[in-house]
Amino acid sequence: MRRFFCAALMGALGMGVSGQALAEDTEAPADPARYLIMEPNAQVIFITTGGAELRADWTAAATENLWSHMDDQVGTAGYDTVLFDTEAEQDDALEQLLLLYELVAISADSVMPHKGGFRANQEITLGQTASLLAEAYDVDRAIFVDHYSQIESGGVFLTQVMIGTATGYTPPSQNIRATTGTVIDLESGDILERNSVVMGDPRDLNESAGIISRILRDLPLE
Amino acid sequence: MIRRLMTLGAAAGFAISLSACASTNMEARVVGDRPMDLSTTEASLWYQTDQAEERLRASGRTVEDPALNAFVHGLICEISGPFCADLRLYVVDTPDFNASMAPNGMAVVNTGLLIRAETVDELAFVLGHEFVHFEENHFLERHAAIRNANITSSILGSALAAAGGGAFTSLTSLAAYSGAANFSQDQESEADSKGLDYAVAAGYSATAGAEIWSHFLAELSASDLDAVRNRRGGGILGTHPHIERRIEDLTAQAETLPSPEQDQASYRALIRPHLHTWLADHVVRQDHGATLVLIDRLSEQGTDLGVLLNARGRVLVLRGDEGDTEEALETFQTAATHDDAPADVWRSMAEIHRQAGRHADAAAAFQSYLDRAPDARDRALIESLIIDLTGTSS
Amino acid sequence: MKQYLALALAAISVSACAVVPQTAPAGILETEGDFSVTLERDWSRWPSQINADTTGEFITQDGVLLNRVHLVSIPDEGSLVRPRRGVEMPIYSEGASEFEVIEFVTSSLEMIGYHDVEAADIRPVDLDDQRGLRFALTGVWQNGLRVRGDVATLPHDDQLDVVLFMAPELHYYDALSAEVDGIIASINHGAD
Repeated sequence: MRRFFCAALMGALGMGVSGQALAEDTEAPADPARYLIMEPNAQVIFITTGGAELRADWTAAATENLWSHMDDQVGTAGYDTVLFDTEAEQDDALEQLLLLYELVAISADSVMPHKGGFRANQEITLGQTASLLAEAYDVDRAIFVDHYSQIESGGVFLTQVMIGTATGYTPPSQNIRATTGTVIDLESGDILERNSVVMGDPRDLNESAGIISRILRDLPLE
Repeated sequence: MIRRLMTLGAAAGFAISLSACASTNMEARVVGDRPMDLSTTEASLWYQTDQAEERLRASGRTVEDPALNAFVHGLICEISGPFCADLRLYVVDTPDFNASMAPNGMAVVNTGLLIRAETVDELAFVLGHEFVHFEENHFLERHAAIRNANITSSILGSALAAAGGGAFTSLTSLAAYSGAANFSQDQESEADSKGLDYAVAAGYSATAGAEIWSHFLAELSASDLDAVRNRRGGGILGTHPHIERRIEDLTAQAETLPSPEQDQASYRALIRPHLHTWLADHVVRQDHGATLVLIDRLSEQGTDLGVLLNARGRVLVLRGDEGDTEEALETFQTAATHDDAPADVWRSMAEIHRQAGRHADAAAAFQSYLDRAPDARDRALIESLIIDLTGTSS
Repeated sequence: MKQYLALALAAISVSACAVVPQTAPAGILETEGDFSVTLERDWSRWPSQINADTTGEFITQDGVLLNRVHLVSIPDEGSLVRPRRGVEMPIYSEGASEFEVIEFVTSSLEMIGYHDVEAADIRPVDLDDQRGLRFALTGVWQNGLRVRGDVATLPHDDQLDVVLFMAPELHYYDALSAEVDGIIASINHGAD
């Protein structure tokens, strides 16, 4: 969650969150790499005067759009892709690996003073157990997408106007939209690339395609 | 002009926000129910509970005892009839006294409920209570009530502030949330009453409802913690009625209903394999007063005394009041006379002897511990302590 | 008067901002507790003021969820978990037995997101020429990920010195356990 706020904050400050090759010394495979496209982990929260609500339809639309666009655009770029099978029964080791990814994704954007500044902690790894995914899907790399949106209702906006009228202080907007793509080398488990973009509404087909293309623009696949 | 625009904006906000208020009177669900329109709040709540269920499955916090799970699931099916296929049971390893049935059919039964129930009848009552929440869509209604309270509080509060009545905004909030709390208390009372009917219809004793609440009330009353003692319910913002009122209502309701004899022994046999572990979860919480009440009540059946007295001794050691150490030693010594006494009993006795400087007794008790638990994880430490105490290796 | 209040508030705000994660360079690290350890390489250090869940400081290589080594001296009647209103915390008492110390550590971890925490390989150990205790830990993080850990405890004066290492079983535990062994072996109280 924290990384989204960081990304949103940087966006608000006008600082571009551009990607870069994080493991420049990684040798590209002789043949184009095969990519496993993981199901995006998306959350779209609707903030109303009644409270915050994780919207099922919006989250489902965002997940589906981001997943299919990532698959399409990586495929169009000339790579073979395989979609992660969400229905298959995962064995224990694979389940543990995916749970580890959750912690790695949260940690990747943490500031580790001894490593340097922002993004310096992205050279972390899932470890060699990542090869389980390579074996299960016959792929070289995996792409994870995380998305978080907060969307305010019109009622919240007008309530803020009312508060502003009454008190002279208008609460800041709570609208947030941030998406992160992460490429993992499934032989070493290392994060090869990681790129975040702010803005864009993944519920919308065109905007979702735009989000993915902006992520991939600064996320060289090989 | 600007002021007029602001007034118009405020009026529009008021109207839009109040139009967002949801109905708190949902129809009872039908078998196989699942919201098809994903844009609804109901669908969002299902989606969230689906996610919570996925996380629970992955968490490793569920108790994987096939016999126990099958039994509790069977009981849920007895209570819920045709809704059985909609419910998925998870026994969750946590000492809190609770159970729940989420809108998506995730039924959670805490080990803290299983250890406190003394008969299947008591468990049946609680499951009946939770099933009523599920069947009557209480979760969704309560969500709507809280949502409406939030809307009322923020809109009326803002309107009052805009009109120069800012001092009254907290009163608006209090009125809104106490309304939601009252609504929740009514749901709990309904779940108690109908839940008891369901349990009785399935052949269980009508007195079980008041009994399990009475046991829990005794525990809360004996707690060392103010926050726990205050959990007895009621109050203007309480979501649950006061437990004493629930007991009164259930007792009155039971007078006209059948109350067949309850079987404590068969229920204890069901949870016996877990008794030692579940008690340990309570002991480490260090709410000594409440835990002693629980242990003493479970001991009244006269079975499992090795395990129960071991737990009692540990509470006394941890509490450490004047005379507790001596009473703990006596308690461990009595526990040791029972066949089911865990090896920990001898280690605890050894520790008391060691602290008191009775080295020979301590070494002998440590050795008894190792004899009973040859694969103990602390074997290296215990062997070292025996050497320290006696100067010789075991 | 208002100016003094504003200055005081500003000072408090600045002091709150001043506490941030820092680099703990390779070499001797004087902990916030009453002992020092020697680090083979640089670590990041989270001082006690910014730890939401625990008392004392910890150091980490890759983030608190991936590896953490708590370095803390717990006073008599103190806790490893940051106190919360209305919640009974596991408390260390001076003179606690080895078994009580183990339970203190495992039940503390159960309050900050771990569960099924169990101690194993429990053994006495000499640290800084004093008798201490070492044990291994297994458990599960709240999302279901299995974790492992190592603990060294050493009663010193009326305090309990604790070095507590936790990491996911996958990759991260093995990657650091030998280095943490070195940290534990380097516990030093200076000239008492």
